[in-house]
Parts: sequence; C-alpha cells; structure tokens
Amino acid sequence: MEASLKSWELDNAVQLVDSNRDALYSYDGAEQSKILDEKPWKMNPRYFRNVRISAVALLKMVMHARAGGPLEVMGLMQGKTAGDTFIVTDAFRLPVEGTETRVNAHEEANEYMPNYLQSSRDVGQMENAVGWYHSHPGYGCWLSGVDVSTQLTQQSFQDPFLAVVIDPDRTISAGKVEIGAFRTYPESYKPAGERFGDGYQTIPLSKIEDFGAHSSRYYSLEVSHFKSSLDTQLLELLWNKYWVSTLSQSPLFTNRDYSSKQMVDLSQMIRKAELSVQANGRGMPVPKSGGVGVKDTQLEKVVRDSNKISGEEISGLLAGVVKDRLFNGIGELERPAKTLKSEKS
Amino acid sequence: MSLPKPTNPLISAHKSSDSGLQILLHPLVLLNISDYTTRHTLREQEGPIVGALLGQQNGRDISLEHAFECKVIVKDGEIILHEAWLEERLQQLKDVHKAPALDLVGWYTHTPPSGPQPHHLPIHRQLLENNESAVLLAFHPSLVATSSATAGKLPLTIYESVYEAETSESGGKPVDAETTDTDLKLRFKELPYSIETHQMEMIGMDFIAKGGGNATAVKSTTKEKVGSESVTEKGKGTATRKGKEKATEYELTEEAATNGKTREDDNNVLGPEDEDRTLYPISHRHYPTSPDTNPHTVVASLTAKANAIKMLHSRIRLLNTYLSSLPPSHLTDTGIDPTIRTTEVNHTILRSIQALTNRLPLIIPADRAAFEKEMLAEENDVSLVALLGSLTRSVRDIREVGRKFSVCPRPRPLINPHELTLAFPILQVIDSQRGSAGRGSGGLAADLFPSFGHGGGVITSPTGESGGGPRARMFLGGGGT
Repeated sequence: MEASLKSWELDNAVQLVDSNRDALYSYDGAEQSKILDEKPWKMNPRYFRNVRISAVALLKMVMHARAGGPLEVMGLMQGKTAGDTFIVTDAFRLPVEGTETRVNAHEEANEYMPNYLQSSRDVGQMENAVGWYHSHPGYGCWLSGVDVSTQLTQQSFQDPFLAVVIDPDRTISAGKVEIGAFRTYPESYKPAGERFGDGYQTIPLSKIEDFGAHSSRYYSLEVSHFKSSLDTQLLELLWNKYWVSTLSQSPLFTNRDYSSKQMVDLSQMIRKAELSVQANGRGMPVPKSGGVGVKDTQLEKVVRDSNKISGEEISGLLAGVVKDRLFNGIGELERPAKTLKSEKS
Repeated sequence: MSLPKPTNPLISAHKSSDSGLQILLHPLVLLNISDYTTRHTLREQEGPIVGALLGQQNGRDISLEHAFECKVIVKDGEIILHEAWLEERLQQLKDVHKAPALDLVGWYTHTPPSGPQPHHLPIHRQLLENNESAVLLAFHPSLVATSSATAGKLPLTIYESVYEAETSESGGKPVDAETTDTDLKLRFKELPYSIETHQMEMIGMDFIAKGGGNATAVKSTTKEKVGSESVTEKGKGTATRKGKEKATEYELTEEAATNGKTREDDNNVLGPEDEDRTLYPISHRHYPTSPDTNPHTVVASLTAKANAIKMLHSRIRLLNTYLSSLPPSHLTDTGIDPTIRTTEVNHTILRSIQALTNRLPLIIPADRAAFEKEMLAEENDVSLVALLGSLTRSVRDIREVGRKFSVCPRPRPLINPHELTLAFPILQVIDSQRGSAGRGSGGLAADLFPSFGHGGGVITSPTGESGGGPRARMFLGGGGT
C-alpha cells in the first residue's frame, strides 16, 4: 500500500516538470567525470565564458551575503559544467566570516565541506563543488589580492572552479542583484594587452589600489540565471502576495549607511578631480600638450558616480513621496465613508 | 484509494485553529521545494519527496525560512526520516545559520489537496519528539496548474498537529484505526500563514522572476523565431551533453517554451509572463549599471509603484463591490422585499473590513509637522544630490567647450595680427581688472584658454565644498534619526 501511495505522489509530480525546459536540473555522473578527465579548460585560459545560476542558489547566496551585514561571508556552490558554461544548481554557506579570519577559518571549512557534500549525495544531489562565493559589502564585484590567490589555488587543485562575488549593499541600493563571476589566469599567462574592465565600476578609494593591482590577473564571466517551470508558476503566485512590500519599502531609509558612504567617497573623488583640473588648467596655457582626445578621467568618473547616486536617491525619494500621497491624509477623506461602512456592518 | 473525499479523517473536526500560531513563510522555502521536486523528478529518484523546514519560533510566531530535502528509510513498514543523517545535516545547517539561529520547525511533503494521509503520520510523530509544535507544509502538486490560472492562493496548506480525544463522528473509522493505538489521536489543523520577505530576498526574487539572463533578454524581441527553434531542438532528444550551444539552447528553450505554445497550459503563461515584465518591481533593469540607464531605473521603479497601486486599487474595489452588493439594512428600512437576491452576509469578512477601516487613522503620522519636516529634509537632501549631479555634468561640459574653443581661435592671431594690436588696449584693461595684468599680445588665445581652465577649477571647488561636504555630513548626522 505504501508503495502505491509513493508512486502516486511521483506521478503527480511529473506534470510539474518538463524534461526539456528543465534539462539543467538533471545530472549525468558519467558525463561529468568524462569532462573532468578531458580537462578541456587546460587548453585555453579563458575557456569558460558563461555562468548559469539556478534560482534557489542565487537566492541563497544573496540572502547569505545580506545576513553577513558589514562582514564578508563565504560559501560554496554545487553544480556542473557543460561546454564553456558553469551551471550552478545549489549553494551552501561555510562557517567562515570576515576578511581577517579567513585564513584560519579555512581549516574548519575544509572539514565542513566534504561532510556537507557527502550528505547532499545521500539525497541524490550528486553535484560536486564548482566554485565559491563571497560578499563584498559596499565595494563592488571584483577580486582582491587575497581572493585572486585563493582562486588560483582552487583552480590548480580543484578545477573547474569558479569565484562569485556579491555586493549586498549595492544590491539594495540599485534594486538589482549585483553579482560577478570570475576566473583567474594561470600564473604563466599574461593577457595580451586586453585588460579586464570592460565595464566601468565604482570602487571606493580605499580599495582602488587593491582593485587596480590585480585586475589583470583574472577575467569575468557572463552571469545569468535560470528557473524551472515550477519556479515560474510559484513566482507568479507570489507576486499576488508581495506587491504590498513594493509600496511599503523605503530604500532611502534602509540604505542610509551605504548612501552616506557613497557620498563621502564622492566628495573625495571630487577633491581629487579638482586638483587634477587645476593642475591641467595651469599646466597648459598653450593647448598643444592637452589635445582634444584626452579626457578628464577623474572628472568623468565624478560625473558618472554623481549621476548614479542621484538616480538612486531620486527613485528612493519617489518611493517616499508616492507613499505620502497615497496614505497620508487618507483619514480625513475616508472618515465619512468609514462611518457609513461601519453602520452597514 | 478513497481520496479525495470531502472530510479527511486526519483533519481535526474543530474548525479553526485556536492555538494562535502564526506562520511566516519565506519564498526561499518555496523555491527549495520546487527545486527539489524538479530535481527529484528529472533524476528519477526513488521515494517520496520529503524535506525539513528550518525557521525560528518566537512565542506563537513560527517563521519558515529555509528548507532542505531529507533522506527517508523504511522501518517496520513505516516510512520515516533517516535519524542519523538528519541530525548531521541539521547540525551542518545550524552551524551556518547562527544569527538569527534557525532550528527545525517542521517538514514538507506532497499531499493531495484534501490534506495529510495516514502514511504521513510516522514522520510527523518522529518530529514531534523533538519539537512538539512541529508543523507540516503540505504542497499540493495537483493544484499548481489550476491555482496559477485563477491567480489565487499558493498550492499549499500548513498544518499544525493536535492530539484529540475520540469524537463521535470520526471515531471508529477503519482508516486511522491501524495508525493510532491510543484514545488520543493525532489530528491536523490548518494554520493561517502569511508570506514574509526581507528586502534582499525580494530583490533576489525580482531578479529571478524577470526571466533568464542576458541571453533571454536579447532574444525576447525574437520570441516567435526562438519558439520554432526550440521545437526542433526538442526533436533531437534529451541527451544534454552537447557542449555550449546545447546548454544555451536549452535555456532559450525554457524561456521560449514559456512564451510559445509547446504545451497546452503555456497559453496561460504567455499573458502573465509578458505582464510580469511590468509587474515585477525592477523588471526593466536588464542592463548593467551605467550612468545612461539612470532614467530607466527611475522609470522602472515608478512602473513598479504604479502596478502596485493598481493592485491596491483593485483590492479596494473588490471590497467596495462586496459591500455594495450586501443586502440593505433591515433596521432602517423595513419595507424591503426580502426576496431580492443579494450576497449572503459573511460576518467574518465584515468584521475584518471594519477592523481595517478602524485602523486607517493610524496610518497618519501622529506628529504631522515633524513628519513633514523630516520629509522636507529628505527631499532637500535628494535635491542637493541631484543638483550636485547636474553641476558635475555642467562642469564636464564646460571643460569640453573650453577644450574645443582652444582649438578654434588659435589660428586667428596668425591670420590677422593687426586686429589683435587694435584690441590689445581693451584686453589689457580687462586683464588689469582681473588682477592678471601685463600679458603680451600673443596672450589672447592663451589667456582665453586658461580662463576656461580656471573656470572649471573655480566651479568645481564650491561643488566639492558645498555639495559633497555638507551632504555627507547631513547624512552622517541624519543617520541617527
């Protein structure tokens, strides 16, 4: 009787899943070990180009990053590879926190990791660890010197391996998940002239040295995410539940610390830009040396940053104004209507 | 099997829960269940879909924040959780969820819509040993398709369990006779639940909800084409090992199939899927942050607000319609014909509507003046930042003008030096007024240019002082309020 009940449950589940649409959720052990044996990424230091992250893994990582607050947090990702794409199916936290403690805590994490993976296998989650993630609260998605050497070690012993960085503070203020995925080049490889930095990033001045010093040692991968058909259906239903929070949130208030930090940073940058502008102005009475092609990079950065900040602030304020218009003064207008209604009931 | 029948003997006969337990359900749990279900099915794993729920219990509030799938074993003909495995896994997760500390608060499984079945009891009893208020989240797979069409409730029910003495109507039924051996029987009671999201969680959900990554965002303009491709792709079979093209194709397939008509019920999905591009708060932010997308982000957040207000409006209208469809009062007007068909009066709904309207005055801040002052301060802050933004932009533009200008007028003195000598006295006057007298005639162009250079410097310096400084100070000072 039990068996029939179980099979009934399974039958019922089948209709929720489309084996084509949700193909990324399957796992073929033989295929994965074949890839591991072939090691196609040995040929090309930039072999891997894409990362696909499952909904559940993304949410877990994002929430972990936020839970850490101002501390850096760290965890591992489980998944597989297909061609030049990493497919991250799940993620789990590691009992490690903070920048300084990382090296020591690694011992503890080393023990935790295999145990966790083993118990995952027991319930049919056959994936290996394919990467690690950590958070950069407030200073953007890139790899620091320590991160680069960690990633380099992992890549030489545990390839294929991937590094993912999440910025929880910027995620909140921008309203979209700030995430980056990276792989380092092997020690011997020098990227031919082309520098990482295709996209402009705002990096606090206190970190910019670290950023600049190592940016040529790794490259970033294209990050995207996927969800199952069941996820899609559930998410649709969830919208019915949480439109309220769209109205109730107030980004200006929750992210005050971050925006004041941004402001301090901007003022520092303006001071720097000011100096460079003055130097330039005095330095070229004859505009021969200046030339039209040369741009004020400092000034350019200031403009970008202040635009970004003001955009975020404005949308934050709009949220407040909308709320104010919508709810304040509701009592005065509604009162007569209210008495009517209560009479009725 | 005698499913689904109107009365499930395992559901308590006493209607509503009187324990006052409040369940706060987090979306991560739902995604976890969905993830496990999908994986379980595709990998053709055996056994039932069973998992544990982690959360916090605070008085009568239980939050369900995390979930993980469980290993089950068959022992004495009963299906129960693998004790040692569970303990280990639980410890692993507790180790990393310390602040706030999460604990085992219940479990989830798939059940028919009618509720838990006798074979669910052993696991529940097992959990009750550790936590006497363990809850059961029953996910109803058969309701998924229908509930998404009606935009109704989530396809799940949360139960608490109680021990009840035999009651006359449920006593002696053969179904539970074999599963219970005392007079007190385990019964399930439905619990009310609400969805709770952290802000971060919500942003994550939006990000996920707005569709696949860049690949799909690009392809969304050519939906039809991708749709037909995906059909041929499916024809090739399910062998996934084909390298990159295949992997991305499948992703496209996933998206395209959602938008296409490859499955019958996808027609339902088409509408909402397009709709959610505007429904979900931040759905327009497909692009990496760059200064040029600022208008987009502002517009997107406004669209999200507008949609939420629409939703609020429709809800209020619903209440309104309901209230106006009620029968008119019998007390004030006795001459009403009772045969006119009106909505049946539901007192619970009326009471909650009254509670809602009574609460309305509370929304208004107690100290209106202080609130307005605060709002004004906030507004000023933001305006200042916006001003700073436009100032810096102007500075850049002026620099640009200066640079271009320096290119144009330079040849002029060479073409007609005579003109310059005529203008010289005037220039000298200007120069002396500015305190920088005594420049040669060749200094016209040279003088003009650095004046632009200085101009940039002069403008920037008050910007740096008055814009960045006080604003930052304001923020730091305002942080405590």
